[in-house]
Amino acid sequence: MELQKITGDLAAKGIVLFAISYDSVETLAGFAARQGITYPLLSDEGSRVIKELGILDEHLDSHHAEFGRPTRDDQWGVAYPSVFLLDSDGIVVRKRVHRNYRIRDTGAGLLEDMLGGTASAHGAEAAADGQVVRVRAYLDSPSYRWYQRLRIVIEVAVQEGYHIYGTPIPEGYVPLSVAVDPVDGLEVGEPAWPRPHRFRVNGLAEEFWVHEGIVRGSVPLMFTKDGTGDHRLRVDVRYQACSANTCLPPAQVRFELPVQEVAAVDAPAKQ
Amino acid sequence: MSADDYSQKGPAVGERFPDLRLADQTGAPVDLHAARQGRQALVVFYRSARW
Repeated sequence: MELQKITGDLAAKGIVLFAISYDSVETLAGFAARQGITYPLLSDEGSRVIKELGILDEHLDSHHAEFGRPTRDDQWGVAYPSVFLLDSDGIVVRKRVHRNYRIRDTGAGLLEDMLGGTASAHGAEAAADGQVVRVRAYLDSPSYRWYQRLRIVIEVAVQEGYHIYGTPIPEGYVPLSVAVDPVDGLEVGEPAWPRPHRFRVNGLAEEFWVHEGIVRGSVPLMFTKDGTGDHRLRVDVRYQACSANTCLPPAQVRFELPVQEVAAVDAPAKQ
Repeated sequence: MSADDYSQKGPAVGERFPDLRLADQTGAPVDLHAARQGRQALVVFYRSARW
Protein backbone atom coordinates (compact mmCIF):
# COMPACT_ATOMS: atom_id res chain seq x y z
CA MET A 1 0.00 0.00 0.00
CA GLU A 2 1.45 3.34 -1.06
CA LEU A 3 0.60 5.09 2.21
CA GLN A 4 2.78 2.73 4.25
CA LYS A 5 5.78 3.98 2.25
CA ILE A 6 5.38 7.52 3.54
CA THR A 7 4.51 6.87 7.19
CA GLY A 8 8.10 7.67 8.15
CA ASP A 9 8.06 10.95 6.24
CA LEU A 10 4.73 11.91 7.86
CA ALA A 11 5.83 10.96 11.35
CA ALA A 12 8.92 13.12 10.93
CA LYS A 13 6.61 16.06 10.24
CA GLY A 14 4.37 15.21 13.22
CA ILE A 15 1.42 14.37 10.96
CA VAL A 16 -1.01 11.60 11.90
CA LEU A 17 -2.41 9.43 9.11
CA PHE A 18 -5.92 8.00 8.85
CA ALA A 19 -7.15 5.94 5.92
CA ILE A 20 -10.89 5.41 5.42
CA SER A 21 -12.84 3.11 3.11
CA TYR A 22 -16.22 1.39 2.96
CA ASP A 23 -14.68 -2.00 3.83
CA SER A 24 -15.73 -4.03 6.86
CA VAL A 25 -13.51 -4.32 9.93
CA GLU A 26 -12.91 -7.95 8.98
CA THR A 27 -11.61 -7.01 5.53
CA LEU A 28 -9.42 -4.28 7.02
CA ALA A 29 -8.01 -6.64 9.66
CA GLY A 30 -6.93 -9.13 6.98
CA PHE A 31 -5.54 -6.41 4.75
CA ALA A 32 -3.59 -4.75 7.57
CA ALA A 33 -2.09 -8.08 8.59
CA ARG A 34 -1.09 -9.06 5.03
CA GLN A 35 0.36 -5.66 4.15
CA GLY A 36 1.93 -4.81 7.50
CA ILE A 37 -0.11 -1.63 7.90
CA THR A 38 0.85 0.39 10.96
CA TYR A 39 -1.64 3.29 10.70
CA PRO A 40 -5.41 3.28 11.39
CA LEU A 41 -7.67 1.89 8.68
CA LEU A 42 -11.17 3.12 9.51
CA SER A 43 -14.22 1.15 8.46
CA ASP A 44 -17.09 3.14 6.99
CA GLU A 45 -19.09 0.04 6.12
CA GLY A 46 -22.40 1.16 4.62
CA SER A 47 -20.70 4.39 3.49
CA ARG A 48 -22.56 6.55 6.02
CA VAL A 49 -19.67 8.97 6.57
CA ILE A 50 -18.71 8.88 2.89
CA LYS A 51 -22.26 9.97 2.00
CA GLU A 52 -22.41 12.61 4.76
CA LEU A 53 -19.17 14.16 3.57
CA GLY A 54 -20.45 14.26 -0.01
CA ILE A 55 -17.75 12.07 -1.54
CA LEU A 56 -19.79 9.04 -2.49
CA ASP A 57 -19.00 8.09 -6.09
CA GLU A 58 -22.34 8.28 -7.85
CA HIS A 59 -20.87 8.03 -11.36
CA LEU A 60 -19.67 4.45 -11.33
CA ASP A 61 -21.51 3.54 -14.52
CA SER A 62 -19.91 6.34 -16.52
CA HIS A 63 -16.48 5.58 -15.07
CA HIS A 64 -16.87 1.97 -16.08
CA ALA A 65 -17.98 3.01 -19.54
CA GLU A 66 -14.57 4.74 -19.72
CA PHE A 67 -12.71 1.56 -18.73
CA GLY A 68 -14.98 -0.81 -20.62
CA ARG A 69 -15.96 -2.82 -17.54
CA PRO A 70 -19.34 -3.49 -15.93
CA THR A 71 -20.10 -2.15 -12.46
CA ARG A 72 -20.26 -4.89 -9.83
CA ASP A 73 -22.88 -4.61 -7.11
CA ASP A 74 -20.24 -4.60 -4.39
CA GLN A 75 -18.61 -1.50 -5.88
CA TRP A 76 -21.50 0.80 -4.97
CA GLY A 77 -20.59 2.77 -1.87
CA VAL A 78 -17.02 3.47 -2.90
CA ALA A 79 -15.76 7.00 -2.24
CA TYR A 80 -14.01 9.31 -4.68
CA PRO A 81 -10.34 8.87 -3.82
CA SER A 82 -9.65 11.96 -1.77
CA VAL A 83 -7.19 13.41 0.67
CA PHE A 84 -7.63 16.11 3.29
CA LEU A 85 -4.80 17.76 5.19
CA LEU A 86 -5.91 19.09 8.58
CA ASP A 87 -3.98 21.59 10.66
CA SER A 88 -3.49 21.23 14.41
CA ASP A 89 -6.99 22.66 15.00
CA GLY A 90 -8.59 20.14 12.65
CA ILE A 91 -9.26 22.73 9.93
CA VAL A 92 -8.94 21.53 6.32
CA VAL A 93 -5.97 23.37 4.83
CA ARG A 94 -5.53 21.37 1.67
CA LYS A 95 -7.62 18.83 -0.20
CA ARG A 96 -7.65 16.76 -3.34
CA VAL A 97 -10.55 14.76 -4.78
CA HIS A 98 -10.11 12.51 -7.82
CA ARG A 99 -12.85 11.96 -10.41
CA ASN A 100 -12.77 8.17 -10.37
CA TYR A 101 -11.43 5.36 -8.22
CA ARG A 102 -8.88 4.27 -10.79
CA ILE A 103 -6.80 7.40 -10.35
CA ARG A 104 -4.53 7.07 -7.42
CA ASP A 105 -1.43 8.71 -6.11
CA THR A 106 1.87 7.21 -5.22
CA GLY A 107 2.95 7.87 -1.64
CA ALA A 108 5.53 10.28 -2.99
CA GLY A 109 2.99 12.09 -5.15
CA LEU A 110 0.69 12.52 -2.17
CA LEU A 111 3.50 13.91 -0.07
CA GLU A 112 4.43 16.37 -2.80
CA ASP A 113 0.83 17.47 -3.55
CA MET A 114 -0.31 17.85 0.02
CA LEU A 115 2.83 18.81 1.88
CA GLY A 116 5.24 20.02 -0.76
CA GLY A 117 7.73 17.47 0.48
CA THR A 118 9.75 14.90 -1.39
CA ALA A 119 9.44 11.30 -0.33
CA SER A 120 12.65 9.62 0.70
CA ALA A 121 12.26 6.80 -1.84
CA HIS A 122 11.90 7.66 -5.50
CA GLY A 123 12.99 6.25 -8.85
CA ALA A 124 16.56 6.09 -10.08
CA GLU A 125 18.09 9.46 -10.82
CA ALA A 126 19.37 10.35 -14.28
CA ALA A 127 21.83 13.15 -14.92
CA ALA A 128 22.87 14.81 -18.16
CA ASP A 129 25.11 17.78 -18.79
CA GLY A 130 24.70 20.38 -21.48
CA GLN A 131 27.14 23.14 -22.28
CA VAL A 132 26.15 25.47 -19.45
CA VAL A 133 23.46 23.42 -17.73
CA ARG A 134 23.36 20.36 -15.58
CA VAL A 135 20.12 18.38 -15.52
CA ARG A 136 19.07 15.87 -12.88
CA ALA A 137 15.77 14.04 -13.01
CA TYR A 138 13.94 11.18 -11.37
CA LEU A 139 10.50 9.65 -11.34
CA ASP A 140 8.83 10.15 -7.98
CA SER A 141 8.18 6.41 -7.85
CA PRO A 142 10.36 3.53 -9.14
CA SER A 143 7.25 1.53 -10.00
CA TYR A 144 3.82 2.23 -11.41
CA ARG A 145 0.34 0.79 -11.56
CA TRP A 146 -2.05 1.83 -14.26
CA TYR A 147 -4.05 4.97 -13.46
CA GLN A 148 -1.54 5.91 -10.83
CA ARG A 149 -0.37 9.52 -10.98
CA LEU A 150 3.36 9.77 -11.38
CA ARG A 151 5.63 12.72 -11.74
CA ILE A 152 9.01 13.32 -13.34
CA VAL A 153 10.91 15.74 -11.11
CA ILE A 154 13.48 17.72 -13.09
CA GLU A 155 16.18 20.03 -11.82
CA VAL A 156 18.05 22.24 -14.29
CA ALA A 157 21.11 23.98 -12.85
CA VAL A 158 22.18 26.90 -15.03
CA GLN A 159 25.79 28.01 -14.85
CA GLU A 160 26.32 31.38 -13.23
CA GLY A 161 26.40 34.20 -15.72
CA TYR A 162 23.91 32.45 -17.98
CA HIS A 163 20.15 32.30 -18.13
CA ILE A 164 17.72 30.12 -20.05
CA TYR A 165 14.43 31.22 -21.54
CA GLY A 166 10.99 30.62 -20.16
CA THR A 167 7.71 31.74 -21.69
CA PRO A 168 6.42 34.06 -23.07
CA ILE A 169 9.26 34.19 -25.51
CA PRO A 170 10.15 36.37 -28.50
CA GLU A 171 10.18 34.68 -31.88
CA GLY A 172 13.36 32.90 -32.77
CA TYR A 173 14.27 31.85 -29.26
CA VAL A 174 13.80 28.42 -27.73
CA PRO A 175 12.14 28.20 -24.33
CA LEU A 176 12.70 25.56 -21.68
CA SER A 177 10.61 22.52 -22.55
CA VAL A 178 10.35 18.84 -21.77
CA ALA A 179 9.22 16.06 -24.07
CA VAL A 180 8.71 12.39 -23.27
CA ASP A 181 8.96 9.91 -26.16
CA PRO A 182 5.47 8.47 -26.75
CA VAL A 183 4.66 5.16 -25.13
CA ASP A 184 1.44 3.28 -25.82
CA GLY A 185 -0.97 4.03 -23.00
CA LEU A 186 1.14 6.78 -21.42
CA GLU A 187 -0.59 10.12 -20.81
CA VAL A 188 1.80 13.03 -20.32
CA GLY A 189 0.48 16.21 -18.74
CA GLU A 190 1.68 19.80 -18.90
CA PRO A 191 5.01 20.46 -17.20
CA ALA A 192 4.99 22.85 -14.26
CA TRP A 193 7.92 25.23 -13.98
CA PRO A 194 8.49 28.11 -11.56
CA ARG A 195 7.63 31.56 -12.83
CA PRO A 196 10.48 33.02 -14.87
CA HIS A 197 11.64 36.55 -14.14
CA ARG A 198 11.95 39.55 -16.39
CA PHE A 199 15.27 40.27 -17.98
CA ARG A 200 16.25 43.29 -20.01
CA VAL A 201 19.18 43.29 -22.36
CA ASN A 202 20.90 46.63 -22.98
CA GLY A 203 20.10 47.96 -26.38
CA LEU A 204 17.19 45.59 -27.02
CA ALA A 205 13.60 46.70 -26.77
CA GLU A 206 12.32 43.15 -26.20
CA GLU A 207 11.57 41.85 -22.75
CA PHE A 208 12.74 38.36 -21.92
CA TRP A 209 11.45 35.98 -19.31
CA VAL A 210 14.27 33.87 -17.99
CA HIS A 211 15.32 31.29 -15.47
CA GLU A 212 18.61 31.41 -13.67
CA GLY A 213 20.35 29.26 -11.10
CA ILE A 214 18.51 26.11 -10.11
CA VAL A 215 15.18 25.57 -11.87
CA ARG A 216 13.01 22.82 -10.48
CA GLY A 217 9.99 21.57 -12.43
CA SER A 218 7.79 18.52 -12.79
CA VAL A 219 5.87 16.65 -15.46
CA PRO A 220 2.76 14.64 -14.51
CA LEU A 221 2.30 11.22 -16.12
CA MET A 222 -0.17 8.41 -15.98
CA PHE A 223 -0.23 4.98 -17.61
CA THR A 224 -3.79 4.24 -18.68
CA LYS A 225 -3.20 0.75 -20.06
CA ASP A 226 -2.68 -2.39 -18.06
CA GLY A 227 0.06 -4.92 -18.78
CA THR A 228 2.49 -2.75 -20.72
CA GLY A 229 5.37 -3.93 -18.55
CA ASP A 230 8.53 -2.14 -17.51
CA HIS A 231 9.66 0.93 -19.39
CA ARG A 232 12.62 3.19 -19.89
CA LEU A 233 11.07 6.58 -20.49
CA ARG A 234 13.10 8.70 -22.88
CA VAL A 235 13.02 12.34 -21.90
CA ASP A 236 14.33 15.40 -23.75
CA VAL A 237 14.88 18.74 -22.09
CA ARG A 238 15.30 21.60 -24.58
CA TYR A 239 16.55 25.05 -23.73
CA GLN A 240 18.51 28.02 -24.97
CA ALA A 241 21.13 29.67 -22.82
CA CYS A 242 22.47 33.18 -23.10
CA SER A 243 24.89 35.24 -21.09
CA ALA A 244 24.67 39.03 -20.88
CA ASN A 245 26.26 39.35 -24.31
CA THR A 246 26.21 35.97 -26.10
CA CYS A 247 23.54 33.49 -26.98
CA LEU A 248 24.44 29.85 -27.39
CA PRO A 249 22.52 27.83 -29.96
CA PRO A 250 19.42 25.98 -28.69
CA ALA A 251 20.43 22.71 -27.09
CA GLN A 252 18.92 19.63 -25.55
CA VAL A 253 19.85 16.95 -23.11
CA ARG A 254 18.38 13.49 -23.24
CA PHE A 255 18.12 10.86 -20.56
CA GLU A 256 16.23 7.71 -19.63
CA LEU A 257 14.15 6.98 -16.56
CA PRO A 258 13.35 3.36 -15.72
CA VAL A 259 9.98 2.44 -14.25
CA GLN A 260 8.68 -1.02 -13.40
CA GLU A 261 5.11 -2.15 -13.65
CA VAL A 262 3.54 -3.51 -10.49
CA ALA A 263 0.71 -5.89 -11.36
CA ALA A 264 -2.58 -4.29 -10.41
CA VAL A 265 -4.84 -6.27 -8.10
CA ASP A 266 -8.17 -5.60 -9.69
CA ALA A 267 -10.37 -8.61 -9.05
CA PRO A 268 -12.06 -9.13 -5.69
CA ALA A 269 -9.71 -10.90 -3.28
CA LYS A 270 -10.26 -14.65 -3.11
CA GLN A 271 -12.12 -15.76 0.04
CA MET B 1 -4.37 14.94 -19.14
CA SER B 2 -8.03 15.61 -18.49
CA ALA B 3 -8.98 17.54 -15.40
CA ASP B 4 -9.46 15.24 -12.48
CA ASP B 5 -10.14 17.78 -9.80
CA TYR B 6 -13.49 17.37 -8.08
CA SER B 7 -12.53 19.91 -5.45
CA GLN B 8 -16.09 21.05 -4.80
CA LYS B 9 -16.88 17.71 -3.19
CA GLY B 10 -16.26 16.99 0.45
CA PRO B 11 -15.34 19.34 3.31
CA ALA B 12 -14.02 22.68 2.07
CA VAL B 13 -10.66 24.28 2.78
CA GLY B 14 -11.07 26.57 5.78
CA GLU B 15 -13.82 24.41 7.29
CA ARG B 16 -13.29 22.24 10.35
CA PHE B 17 -13.24 18.60 9.24
CA PRO B 18 -16.47 17.02 10.54
CA ASP B 19 -16.38 14.82 13.64
CA LEU B 20 -16.39 11.16 12.83
CA ARG B 21 -16.22 8.02 14.86
CA LEU B 22 -15.51 4.75 13.08
CA ALA B 23 -14.05 1.37 13.99
CA ASP B 24 -10.46 0.67 13.02
CA GLN B 25 -8.96 -2.62 11.81
CA THR B 26 -8.96 -4.00 15.38
CA GLY B 27 -12.62 -3.14 15.88
CA ALA B 28 -11.81 -0.35 18.35
CA PRO B 29 -13.83 2.87 17.91
CA VAL B 30 -11.76 5.83 16.76
CA ASP B 31 -12.88 9.44 17.17
CA LEU B 32 -10.82 11.21 14.53
CA HIS B 33 -10.31 14.59 16.23
CA ALA B 34 -9.61 12.99 19.62
CA ALA B 35 -7.18 10.52 18.05
CA ARG B 36 -5.27 13.40 16.39
CA GLN B 37 -4.37 14.74 19.83
CA GLY B 38 -3.89 18.28 18.54
CA ARG B 39 -1.57 17.21 15.73
CA GLN B 40 -1.92 17.81 12.02
CA ALA B 41 -3.56 14.93 10.16
CA LEU B 42 -3.75 13.49 6.68
CA VAL B 43 -7.15 11.85 6.10
CA VAL B 44 -7.15 9.63 3.02
CA PHE B 45 -10.22 8.06 1.45
CA TYR B 46 -9.10 5.19 -0.79
CA ARG B 47 -11.25 2.91 -2.88
CA SER B 48 -11.08 -0.43 -1.08
CA ALA B 49 -8.81 -2.86 0.70
CA ARG B 50 -10.65 -5.65 -1.09
CA TRP B 51 -10.45 -4.63 -4.78
